[in-house]
Amino acid sequence: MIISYNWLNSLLKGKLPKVKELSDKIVLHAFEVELPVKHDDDYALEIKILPDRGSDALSHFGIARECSAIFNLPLDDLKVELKEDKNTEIDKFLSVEVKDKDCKRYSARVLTGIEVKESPKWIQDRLKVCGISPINNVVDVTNYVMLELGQPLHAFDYEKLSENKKIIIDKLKKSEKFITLSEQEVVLDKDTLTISDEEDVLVIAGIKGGKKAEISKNTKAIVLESANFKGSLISKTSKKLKIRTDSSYRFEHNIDSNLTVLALDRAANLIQEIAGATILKGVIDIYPKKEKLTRIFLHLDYLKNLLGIDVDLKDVRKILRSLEIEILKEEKDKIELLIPSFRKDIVAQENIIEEIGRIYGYDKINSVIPVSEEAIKRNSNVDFANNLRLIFKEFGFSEVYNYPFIGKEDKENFNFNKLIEIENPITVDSEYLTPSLIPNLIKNLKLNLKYEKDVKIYEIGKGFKKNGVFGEKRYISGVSSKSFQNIKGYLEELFESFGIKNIEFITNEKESFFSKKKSAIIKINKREVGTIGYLSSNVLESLGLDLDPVLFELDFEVFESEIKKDKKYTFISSYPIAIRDITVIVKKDTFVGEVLKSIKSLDSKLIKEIELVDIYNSDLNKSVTFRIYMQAKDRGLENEEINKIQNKIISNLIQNPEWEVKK
Amino acid sequence: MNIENLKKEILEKLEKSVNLKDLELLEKDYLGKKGIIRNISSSMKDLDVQAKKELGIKLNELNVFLEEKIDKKKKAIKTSETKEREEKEFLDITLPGDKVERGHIHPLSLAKKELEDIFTFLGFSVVEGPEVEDEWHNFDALNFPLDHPAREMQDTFFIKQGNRANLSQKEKFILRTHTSNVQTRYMETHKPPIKIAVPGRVFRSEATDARHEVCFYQIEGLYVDKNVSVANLKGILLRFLQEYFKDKNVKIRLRPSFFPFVEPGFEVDMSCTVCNQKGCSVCSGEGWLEILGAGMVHQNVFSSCGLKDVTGFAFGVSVDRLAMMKYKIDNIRWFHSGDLRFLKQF
Repeated sequence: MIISYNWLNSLLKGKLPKVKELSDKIVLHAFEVELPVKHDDDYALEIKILPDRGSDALSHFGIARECSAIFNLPLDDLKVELKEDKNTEIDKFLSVEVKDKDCKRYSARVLTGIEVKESPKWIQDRLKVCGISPINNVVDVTNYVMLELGQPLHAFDYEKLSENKKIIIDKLKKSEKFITLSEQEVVLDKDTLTISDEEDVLVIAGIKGGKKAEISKNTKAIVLESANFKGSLISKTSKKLKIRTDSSYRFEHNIDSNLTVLALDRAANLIQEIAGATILKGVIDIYPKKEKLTRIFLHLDYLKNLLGIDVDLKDVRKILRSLEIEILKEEKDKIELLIPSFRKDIVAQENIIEEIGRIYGYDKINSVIPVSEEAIKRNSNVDFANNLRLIFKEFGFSEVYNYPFIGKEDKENFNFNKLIEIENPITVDSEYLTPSLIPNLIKNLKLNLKYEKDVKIYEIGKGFKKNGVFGEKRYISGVSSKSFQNIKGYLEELFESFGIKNIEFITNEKESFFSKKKSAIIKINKREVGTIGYLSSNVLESLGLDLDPVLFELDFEVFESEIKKDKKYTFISSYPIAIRDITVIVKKDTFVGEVLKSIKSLDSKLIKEIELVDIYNSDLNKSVTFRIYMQAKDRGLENEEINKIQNKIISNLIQNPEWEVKK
Repeated sequence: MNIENLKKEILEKLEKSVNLKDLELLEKDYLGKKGIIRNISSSMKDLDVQAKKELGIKLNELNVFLEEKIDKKKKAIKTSETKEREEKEFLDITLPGDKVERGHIHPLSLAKKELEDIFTFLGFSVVEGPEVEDEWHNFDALNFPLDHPAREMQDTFFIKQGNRANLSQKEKFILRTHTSNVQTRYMETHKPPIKIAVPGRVFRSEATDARHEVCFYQIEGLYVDKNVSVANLKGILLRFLQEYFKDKNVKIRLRPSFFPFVEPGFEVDMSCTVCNQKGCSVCSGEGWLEILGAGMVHQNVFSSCGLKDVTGFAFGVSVDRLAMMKYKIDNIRWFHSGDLRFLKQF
C-alpha cells in the first residue's frame, strides 16, 4: 500500500522524522517499506502491510496510529463537521433492506444539489501520490476517504435507481450477467452477494460497482454507501471473478465494522465542501449484530519470560495506550485489556506481547544462548549419507541433485507403474514423482558427456511410489560411462569400506529397466540391497541413447542396516607367503564366479587371498588364472602342505567335467 | 724417529689432500697394516720397558688423533662433493602436476553438513521427515487457516487423489512446502525439552528464476522447553550465523513479521558481510540482508500437538540461499542443473 508522507504527517500532531528515518523506523517496528519515491514536495512510501494487519493498517490513518506509537506523537482529531438539511429526512428518500448476514453493516447517506466536476488540486495530488487517477469530485472523495480511513465507499447516482428508491443487499438467487464500471462483462454465480435496487444489480458487494447507477457529469443527487462484508466471502468471490480491487483487498481483511459511519460522514463532509452538496438529515445504518470487543489478560511473568527481557510496567502501559489498547484492570501479576475493534489480529496474550515487544524494540533484547539438559541424539541416516559422500568423493564420483519429477515419456520408457501423480505440475515433464533416481541421472550423464570424457555421478535421494500409501524410499544411485567391471569394483570397495564382507552379485531375474542378462542383483549378507548393470535394450532404444551407461541403484536403508558397527582388525602374520598359480580352462560363457566359488569351497585357514590374474580367450574357451596366496599365522609353510592345498583345489575343480586344470 | 715430527709431516700431507683418494692413500701409508706407525711400533722391541711403554702410549695417541682428523676431513670432502653434485641437478618444477581424478560433493550437501554440524554444536539433534506430507501436518496443525493463500494451487503441489474432497486433512497429500511439518510430527511424539534441527527438501509451485526454485532445501530449528524466550532465539541465531559465515562481527536484527505458526513472528536480517554495513550492491546500500524467518511457536501449534505449559522458538532458513551467499553463486538453478562444470568447482 502506498502512503503519502505529507498526508500521513497531517494526521499527527507534531512533525514526523525525515522520510529516510521514518521508513527505517517503520521497518524496525512494524512493516517493510520500499525505497521512498519523490513526488514534488511529497514522498510515496510503499508499505507492505503484514497479512494479519489488514484490518487496521491499510490506510493513512492506520499507519498514523502506528507512527503515533513508534514516535510517541499524538494523533490529530479528524474534523467531521456535517451540516445536515434539517427539513428533509433521509427515510423519505431511500430505504435499505439487508437480507443476508454476510453483510455485517450497511450505512448510507443521501446528498443532493451536487455539481460533479474536477476535484481541487490538493485531493488530486494526494490521490496521484498514492497511484490513483482522479476522476471527478464524488468518486475522488470516495477513494480519498478509503485511503485515509481504510473504509471502501461507493456512490450511486440517486436518480438512476429504480422507482421505489430501495436498496437490497442479498445473495443472487440465480446466475446473472453484470457489466462493471470498467465496462467488463462478468457472469455472477448464484449466491454472489450483491447490492441491487428493485430491478438490477448495482454493485458486486465489496468488489466493484456497475454501469447502471454510475456517477456522471449530470449527476445531481447521490447515495453514499459505506458497508462491511464478511472477509472470506469477498475473498472467494474476488478470486472466482478474478477481479481484485482496492475495495475487495480491504474487505478480505475483515476491516472494522465501526468505521462505516465515520467514513460516511467524512466523505459527506468533503463532498459538501468541494461540490456544494446538501446532506439529507440522518443516516441509514443497519447493523444487526454488533461486534463484541475482545478482552485479554496479560500475565506479566509470561511477558517477561517470552521476550526474555524485563519491560518496565510504565513502558508497557505507555505502549498499550499508544496502540489504543485500554487497560481495564491492573492486578499484581496480570493486566486485563480491552482490544479496540480495529485490531482483529489481537486475540491472545501472545499478540499483546508481540505489540509490546515490537514497539519497545527487539533490539533492546540481549542475546542469550539457552542451556538445555537435553542430550543430543545422533542421526544415523544423516551420518551415513555424509560418510557415503566422502567415499564417493574418494572414488572420483561427483554428486548431483535432481528434481524428483519425471514426465509421461519417462514413465513409459522405463515402464514405471504405481506412480504418485501431481495434480498441478509445473510442466508436462514433471507430472509424476519419480520412483527411481536413474531416469534423471541418465539425463545428467547425457548433458555432461558433451564436456567430459568419462562421467561418474551419483545421487542420494528419494524414490516415490504408491503402494496403498504414498511411500518414499531412499536410494543411492549412480550412472557412469565406464564399464560394468569398473563400477562393480567401486561398489565392492564401497561395501568393504563400511566393513561389509559378504557381498554377492547374482543373476537378475526381474523384469525392470535393467538388462536381464547384463545386470546383477547385489546382495550383502544374503539381503538384496540393489542392482547394478546396463539398461535393458528396450529402454535404451526408447531413450534414443547412443551410449550404454552402467547404472546402480542401492536401497539406502538396507545398506545402512547391514553395516557392522566397527571394523575388526585381523592378525598380520610375519611368516613368508607362498604363491601358487592355478589356470582353469572353461567354456567361454562360464561365470568366473563359479570357478572362484569352487576354489573358495576349500575352507582352509592357510589360504590368505585368491586373486584373478589373467583371463585368456580362445575360440570357444577361456583360460582363467588365479593366484593363491598361502600363509600361516605361526610358522613358515612346508612345501608339502602347500602342494596338498593346491592339489585339493585342483581336485575340487576337476569334479566339474567341463573344466580342465592346466598342468 | 721423532713422533712430533711425524705428526707434523702427516698433518701437512692431510692439509694437502683434496679428495677421498688422497685420504685413502694417507691412511694406508701411515695407519695401515704396513704403514709407518705400525713399522715404528714393531721396531720397539729393542727398547727398554720404560721407553717401550712411553713410546707405545704416544703412538697410540697419535693413531687416535690421526684417525679422527682423517675422518673429519673425509666427511667434509663428501659433503662438498655432494653439494657440487646437487648444484648440477635439475627438476622442472614448473611442469603441471599429474591430473588426479577427484570426486565432488554437491555444494548443497556441503552447506547442509556445515549447518548440521553447527546446530549439533549448539545442542540441536538433527531430525528428518517425509516430503510427501498430509495437509494436517503441513498446514492445519501449524495454525494455517483453511483459506490461507499458501494452500492454493499457485503455491503448493497437490498429490492427485480422486476423492480428495471427501478426505480428512490427514488423508489429503501434498509435497511439503516447508520443513515445519517435522515440527508438528516431532512434537506429537516427543516430550519437551525438544531441541531439533531439520534439514530437508521442500517444494513450491511457482515460476523459477535466478532466486526461486520449485524445490529447494531448508533447515529448520525448533526449541521447546519451559521458558524459551526471544532472547534465546537471538542467541542461537547470532551464533549460528557467526559460525556459518566464520565472522564474529556478524550482527542480527529482528523485525516484526507474520507466519501463522509463530507469535510473535520475525523477519531476521543479518549485517552485510560483504561491505561490513558500509553499504554495497549486495545489501542495496542498506547494510542489512534479509536472511530468515523465525518466531515464538504459536500456542495453537502446541495444542494441536498435545503440548501445554511450554514456550518455544522456531526458525527456517533456505540452505540454497546460504550456499549461494557462501559460494557467491548467482543463480539458484545451478543446484539442480546436474552440470559437472558447476559441480566440479566444489
